[in-house]
Amino acid sequence: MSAQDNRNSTRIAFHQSVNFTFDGVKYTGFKGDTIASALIRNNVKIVGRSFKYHRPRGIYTCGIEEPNALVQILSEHNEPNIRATVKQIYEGLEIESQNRWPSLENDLGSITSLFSPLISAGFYNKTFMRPRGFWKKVYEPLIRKAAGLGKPPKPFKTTSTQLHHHVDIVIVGGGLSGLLALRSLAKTKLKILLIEQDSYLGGILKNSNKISTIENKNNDSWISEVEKEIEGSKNIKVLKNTLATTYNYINHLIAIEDLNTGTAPLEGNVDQILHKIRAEHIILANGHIERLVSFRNNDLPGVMLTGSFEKYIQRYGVIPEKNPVIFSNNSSSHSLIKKLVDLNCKPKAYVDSRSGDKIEPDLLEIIHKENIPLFTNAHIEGCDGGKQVQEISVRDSEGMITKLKSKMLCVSGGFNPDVHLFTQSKGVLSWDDNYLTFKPDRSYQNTIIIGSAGGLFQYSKLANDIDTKLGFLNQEPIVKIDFKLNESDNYAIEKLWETKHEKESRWSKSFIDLQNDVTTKDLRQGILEGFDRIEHLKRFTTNSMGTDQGKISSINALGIVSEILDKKVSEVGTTIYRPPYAPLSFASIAGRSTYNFYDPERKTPIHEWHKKNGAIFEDVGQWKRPWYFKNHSEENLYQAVQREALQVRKYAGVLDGSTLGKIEIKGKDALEFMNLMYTNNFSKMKPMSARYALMLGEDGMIMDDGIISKINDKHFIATTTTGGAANVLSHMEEFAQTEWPHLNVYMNSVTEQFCTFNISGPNTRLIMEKVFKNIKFDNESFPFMTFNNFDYLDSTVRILRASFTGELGYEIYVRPSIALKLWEDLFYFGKDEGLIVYGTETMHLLRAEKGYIIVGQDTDGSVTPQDMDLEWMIGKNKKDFIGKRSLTRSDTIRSDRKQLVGIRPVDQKNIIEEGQHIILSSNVKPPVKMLGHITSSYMSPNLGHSFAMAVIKDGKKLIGSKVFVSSSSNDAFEVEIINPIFIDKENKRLVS
Amino acid sequence: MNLISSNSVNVKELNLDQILIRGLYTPTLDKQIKSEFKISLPKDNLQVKQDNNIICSKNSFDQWSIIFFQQVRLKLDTAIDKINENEKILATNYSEGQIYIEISGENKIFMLNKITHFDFREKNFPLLTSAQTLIGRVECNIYNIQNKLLVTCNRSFGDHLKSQIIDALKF
Repeated sequence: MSAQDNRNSTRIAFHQSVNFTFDGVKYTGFKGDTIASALIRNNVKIVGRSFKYHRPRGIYTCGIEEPNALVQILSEHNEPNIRATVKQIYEGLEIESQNRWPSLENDLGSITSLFSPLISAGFYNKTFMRPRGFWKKVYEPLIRKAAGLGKPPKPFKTTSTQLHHHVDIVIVGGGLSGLLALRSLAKTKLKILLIEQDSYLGGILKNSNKISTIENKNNDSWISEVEKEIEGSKNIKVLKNTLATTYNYINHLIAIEDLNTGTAPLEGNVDQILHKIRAEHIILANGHIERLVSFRNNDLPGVMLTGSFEKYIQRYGVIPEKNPVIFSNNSSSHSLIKKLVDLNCKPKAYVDSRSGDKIEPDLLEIIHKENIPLFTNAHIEGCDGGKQVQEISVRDSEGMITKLKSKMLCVSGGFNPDVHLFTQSKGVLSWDDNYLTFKPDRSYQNTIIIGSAGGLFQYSKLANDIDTKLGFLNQEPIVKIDFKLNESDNYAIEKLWETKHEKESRWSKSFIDLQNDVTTKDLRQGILEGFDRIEHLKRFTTNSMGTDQGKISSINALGIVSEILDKKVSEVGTTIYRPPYAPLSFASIAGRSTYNFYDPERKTPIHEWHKKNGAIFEDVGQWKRPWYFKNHSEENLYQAVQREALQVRKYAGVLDGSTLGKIEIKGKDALEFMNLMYTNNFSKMKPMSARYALMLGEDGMIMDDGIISKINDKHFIATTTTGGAANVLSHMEEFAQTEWPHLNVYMNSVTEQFCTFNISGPNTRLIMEKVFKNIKFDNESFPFMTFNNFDYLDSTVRILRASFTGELGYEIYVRPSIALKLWEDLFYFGKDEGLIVYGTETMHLLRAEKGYIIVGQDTDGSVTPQDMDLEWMIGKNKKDFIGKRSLTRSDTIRSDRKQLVGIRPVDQKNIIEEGQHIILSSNVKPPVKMLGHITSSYMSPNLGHSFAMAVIKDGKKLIGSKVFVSSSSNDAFEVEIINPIFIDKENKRLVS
Repeated sequence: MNLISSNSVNVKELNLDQILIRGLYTPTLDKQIKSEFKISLPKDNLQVKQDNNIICSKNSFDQWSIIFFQQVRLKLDTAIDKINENEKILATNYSEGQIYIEISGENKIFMLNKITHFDFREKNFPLLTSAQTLIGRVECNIYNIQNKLLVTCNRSFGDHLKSQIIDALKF
């Protein structure tokens, strides 16, 4: 056993063991362990296989930046691609490694390594092309099987929710800088939200040995004191286990909180909260990320970043390997070496790429005192060892190679300020020659960056940094912080992106992007092939395109590219970090907006009646409308519609038309307004009469239709289509307010204020006379297209004589509170007259038999009234109306426009399908000229055959001719073009 | 009707009456409203006036809502007809087309923050103001009156909104 516990860690509950399984094998960790720290504790070296080459991979880091250790959680609906370095273990957790078969130890996929020279960057752009037939049956299935990491999760019902916040300040990061900022702002009474991704506050104070004391207190005591100070504050809220993932415009943050950190999820309980935060100012104190160095086999299990190794010791109480070799190009390893010496685990060797005079004297003193082999001006040439590091090759300044036997190599290539959120906010970066990294330069929004997130790596300057940047918020100045450090305040980095291989071979690899298996050779190859812009190179090689977005390596890639191109790094530029910072589940994004909350539903006031009476609903926008009614459980749509359609024409039927838009228009200039909004002329219309009207867009195309009821010249009620209601109202308001503000006219939507019942059929009059005993419904008393208000119970109903089916009919407008009573009365009195309820499908069929169009079905925004044979609706001698001018454009008056016609199959056994093409002949070679298409099609029980409405070029002239209609299942069949009115052309039923 | 009480939040569905008035402010109109309903029209957008059992809100530059906490349904139509005699005004009885939900309690804002992005802070939404926003993805009017909020929306969305509120409280 090479790993060892460090029982001095205060974040691990060593008295509470936790059992879990990894690839079916049982292990034990402790409460507070992540999967990674627990596996390290159990000496598990290999945790996965790499994406392309299936190379064995171990744990590389200790945080969200982990590229390798992605696992599948079997006990949580098989959630894939979970970072083992972040996810805490709990009793019974079941984990599986990814991207390997049949096992992690012996993965068949590793055979691809043999072919690695052939499958370098961009190989898929040059392969899989021949033979052509292989793509569908061989290549694609194979690639789909091999692609991706992890398997899809099992279906589950999300238990995530969302929460909105509005605050003055958000501080991202509860580490040293974040806590100092928070403490200094505590007395300002500003509303502050602190977000910390870990379970504990403190950051570098708890994760490393770098700071011995702060303000003369040990780290834990200092953190506790700060927490106590802010605990009682009503204006400060701290969210732990919460990761800020996205920085939107305007100062809008998305953060995801895990409520099940270290515990098993409980069924029915919230597991995640997606926080949506709007702030006046956002303070980014999210620290920095360590980066790697590329060398031969730098991906072998046993290679780990130095800071991460230290974090495992300090935070997770486990020393991954007792005597590691440490390699660095900067002074950040000092604290680790001290710690290892204290724990009696002194390093096997310390390799520094810098000269001896750059290394701190007190570190040199420790090294000499402890007899730790020291290599200066030296590099790691490579690692060897098969499935894990066994031997490390060190090249000195003379080029001599020394081989060291060790199972662990800690590497530090420098630090990058964590600028993801900053760049998401559209902040601008600049290159820092001192620290060899990009750091925030100019904010785009109200963003303040403090500490190492802003490129400040000196503790001595931190107080001034915070005071300068937060002074305008009237914070309590910090002035000075007393630190006692275990390392230098100046980490004196020297440039080193990669080292040379001793022997070049086609198979030797030094990696730049571990998650996507991108090597430094791939970068060279890409540039050689012409991809010398960093954005192109990124896509060609897939460098930084993994779920980690190259957190530990993207700057290295820029450094290597700059050397190849002989340019400054600042000239090479950066690629863009995209949100989210770390992967977000779709479940958390969806929140509660799933299943019955997926989309708000709109219901009519008698919805429950429909449900109880066999309605099958369809979605019309957000409305639930009865589509058809099942007479018995076996009845299907076709049977129901045939039954309903026959019944309405023979006896009577009623439809709940409450979803149709209703707008009340009133004002001194209402008549003028209505004449401008619609094609019709309402001037000579009598009061209490109604008219079918068309509304056009400014382009002259039909936008909507409806019935206009004129109460008087100053007061109208307009109906609209269900889907067009909001559009029509907003269209009216726009013109009233912006084009004709001189007109005195106002509109109110009254769609919800009235239910609408459309009753029609030969027996309708009989039924209405029974329900409304005091009203005369004969032709003389109640002519077609007139309306009036009548008493009903303690209210008033408006009854309009109109019909959309072509039968004698009425529209009843009634208040919701008495709607059900009226509806039930209709059925009570109508049952002996054969009254049935019908749905929207039957309504569509019946109106089509009558040749009535449906806007949006037979029109598509490109047809004029003339095209639909509705010229008669255009008021003659009208001075102006919306769309009038466009009706005389050359395009709208040309003769070969598509026009509305009826279609009947010659062989009446044929069924016409909606959307099918109309063609001249069935025997033509492609490309086939299309004359038009079927807009509506139905099987009519009243006609005894299928029929359709269509729009055909020059359709009116073709009435009487025979053409063909395509079919999805058979050959095209012959049809006859006829007048689109199939029933009662003389309108006898309508005005009976 | 009490919908739900949980976690220091009380939610009730009320049966109220409402008139929607369109038109520009004139002293004549104000006088007419005052004589009819004993409340004058607010002049500033989103301002709410409250008097006993009536609140009057200016929703936009030419729109007011008058909401009655005691049912006056039968008399309302007469009053509306009288107001509509003024040809420059459109008054509509909105009573039955809306649902009215009263939300009170210490945690009302926390609950609402689960289903709306609206900023309820005092500086953005002070007492006696109104707003239009999405709550549970439904377009709602919201009125800040005394120590409670009144939320209204189209009746057709009523079931959905109520379900969202109950879910926000329970989950």
